[in-house]
Amino acid sequence: MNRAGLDPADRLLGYALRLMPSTRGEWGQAMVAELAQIERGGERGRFAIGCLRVALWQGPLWRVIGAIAAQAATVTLALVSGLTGTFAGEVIGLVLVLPPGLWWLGRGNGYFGQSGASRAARIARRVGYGMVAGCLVVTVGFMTATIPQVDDGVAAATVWLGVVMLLLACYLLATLAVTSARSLLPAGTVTTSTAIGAIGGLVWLVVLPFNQPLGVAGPWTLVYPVALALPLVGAPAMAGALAARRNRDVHHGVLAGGCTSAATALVATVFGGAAIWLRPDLVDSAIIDRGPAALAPDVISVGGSYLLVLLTLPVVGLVCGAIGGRLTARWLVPATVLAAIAALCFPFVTVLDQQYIPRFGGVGATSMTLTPDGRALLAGADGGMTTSLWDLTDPAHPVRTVSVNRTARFAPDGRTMASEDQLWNVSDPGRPTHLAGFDGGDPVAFSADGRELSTTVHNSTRTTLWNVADPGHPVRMGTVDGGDLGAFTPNGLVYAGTSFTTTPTTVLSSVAGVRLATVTGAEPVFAPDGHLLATRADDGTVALWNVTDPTRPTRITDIASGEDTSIVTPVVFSPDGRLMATADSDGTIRLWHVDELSRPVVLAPVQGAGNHQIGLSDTLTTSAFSPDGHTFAVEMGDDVVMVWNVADPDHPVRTAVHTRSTEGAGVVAFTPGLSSIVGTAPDGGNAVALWHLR
Amino acid sequence: MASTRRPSAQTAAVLCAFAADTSTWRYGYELGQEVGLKAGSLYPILMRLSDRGLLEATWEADPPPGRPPRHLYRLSGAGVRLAAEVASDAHPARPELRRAW
Repeated sequence: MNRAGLDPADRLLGYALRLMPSTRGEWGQAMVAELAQIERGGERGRFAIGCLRVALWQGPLWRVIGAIAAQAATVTLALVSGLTGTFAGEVIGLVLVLPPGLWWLGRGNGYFGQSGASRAARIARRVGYGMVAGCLVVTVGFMTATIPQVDDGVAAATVWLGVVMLLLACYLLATLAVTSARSLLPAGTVTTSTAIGAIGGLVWLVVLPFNQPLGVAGPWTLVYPVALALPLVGAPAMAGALAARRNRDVHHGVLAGGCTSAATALVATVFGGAAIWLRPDLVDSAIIDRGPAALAPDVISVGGSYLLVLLTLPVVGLVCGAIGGRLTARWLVPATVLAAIAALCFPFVTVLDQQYIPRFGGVGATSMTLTPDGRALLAGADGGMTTSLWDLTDPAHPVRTVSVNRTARFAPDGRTMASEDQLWNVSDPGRPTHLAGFDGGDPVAFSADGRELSTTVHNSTRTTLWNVADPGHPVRMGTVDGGDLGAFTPNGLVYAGTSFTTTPTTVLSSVAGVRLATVTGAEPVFAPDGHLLATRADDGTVALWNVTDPTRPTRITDIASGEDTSIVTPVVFSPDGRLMATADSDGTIRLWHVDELSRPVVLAPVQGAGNHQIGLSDTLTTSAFSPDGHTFAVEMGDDVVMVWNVADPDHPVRTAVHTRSTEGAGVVAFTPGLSSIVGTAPDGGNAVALWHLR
Repeated sequence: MASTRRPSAQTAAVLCAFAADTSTWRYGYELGQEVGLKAGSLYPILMRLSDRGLLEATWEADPPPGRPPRHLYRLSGAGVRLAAEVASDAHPARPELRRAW
């Protein structure tokens, strides 16, 4: 029978045949022949529907049902077993996405299909697609987890990590496509292009570290970015030209260029990442110091430029491959074009170049501590989420050597540093070495002799006390009440930790973990003699306690602020213990004689100097006494640092008003023994200022 | 390779239809109409029988012009034996069950 055109039954059967597994191809042809015999429309339709049923049950239906059942079972199991935490969503997403992704992408012979018939080739491709799916799931996980809080620096860092994962997925997919059996590129061209790309990536990595030695000014300024751009541009152009000449087709040039760029990016990412991971100190301005949470915003901005290079590389590669392929007959012309493209790349590598200027703090500088010799600085950043160790051996060229999660503390001798679960030897701040790990969380305080350390797990109300006399082998002494605010008495026998369980209270404990007494108020500060304890209450008053007998603390007095104000920072004692300073929310600083607390000396704010941020946060005003106790410095809440001579505390003399070039509140600290002050700001600028006192 | 499992009633019907004339090549649609099975049921049975070596298949040698060659089937030697077993089991099965009660 001859029929004109295809009726719905033919189309239905055609669709059924596409679903039929290839092993049943003969049966599909048999169905086509049978359908051709059937004349009546209704009967043809029923026959075609029957054939579709066969195709579904023979082909994908069982596998789809099986996959859905397996996924549902896995997700149910995960939920029932209480799988929670940061990556729970990612794990479940992976379970949902991976099997269908693998089945769909690895099954056929399309541009993303098989590269060969061997078992190894099939496995390799499925693993490749598995990695693509994994990267995509992690990307989605990162993005969805962090977008609601994208203002947070760490969240922004995670978004960047998501971009990296997305980039990696794209490169993997491109590699799988270009190596598939249906790829336009012959195998030889793929090999050559990949090799050229790998060499380009290695050259780029070799050039990269020369940024600092060459500097950012002078005759070498142009050399570095051009040297950095040439392998990125030259490698795909050369591969494109070779491919186009070999295969006499400019499209091959384009594909070879893209293939080369992918190889360059992969080599740069893998080897660069490994180098940064192994020796972060050697790659100061690179991307990641220590895990996602350790990313400070200033590091991210550098990483952003680095990512920009990787992101634009395939486009550059495709364009260069096309140009190289089209102009292959005349090598002189492509060379000129390459030089022009390198010049075009100059602006963005210059951006990369400028990002290498080291920065302190980043957004939200929260703390600064110097070692006694002034060679090392701990700068809290990112709203307290990270702290970086800076080597100030050459103050003009500070180098960040380690960034850690949340907080870090120097031991009083400045030779040991504690960070989350870690102790470091920072005798040479340029090369900090790891001493020991412990299971205690974030450091809170060292004792004056450096033999005891208190630590607390983030957001916990318990504090662990450690004997770190041998920093290589920390020994747990006891666990007491207290959070991330606490102090040892100068003799190191008693620990005061703040507990916020109901109202702010400070718990005094022996270092063995025995609870001795409880006093009201938070943020305990011991006077240098250890007999006086100051705590601050919620209403902005400060209570002073006699803790000569720590089991029976007696309240000496309460210090209130002026009218309509409150005391906004922990009190600061002078090194000799005679003076105590408090800061009110209106910017008034008061000096108190510890032995005569009724008669404070008021240090007025500078007229005209802005202090409008005082009172908004407890961290906005900080003050410090110099090691000899004769000088007192106050960070006034924006860009002003006031310095007072308090050698005669009854007649303090303001000796200097320094203004930072950067705006915003900051923190202030003296460099011990060096007669200078450092101050930082939270605006992410190049924000640590160093003033020498005369 | 014959299966030891007892075939379903529909499979038995198909086997019996083939066994009626073991030398004749049959084609699917005609067979389906004879035993009252639609394509969705008939083809899986034919596929299973073929997979187990109970069925021989060939393509129509000389199809009419303008029509694709049809797929033809008949029982193999093993298929003929199985069809005979099924035919002999079909009648005593029920009386045996009754006696058991």
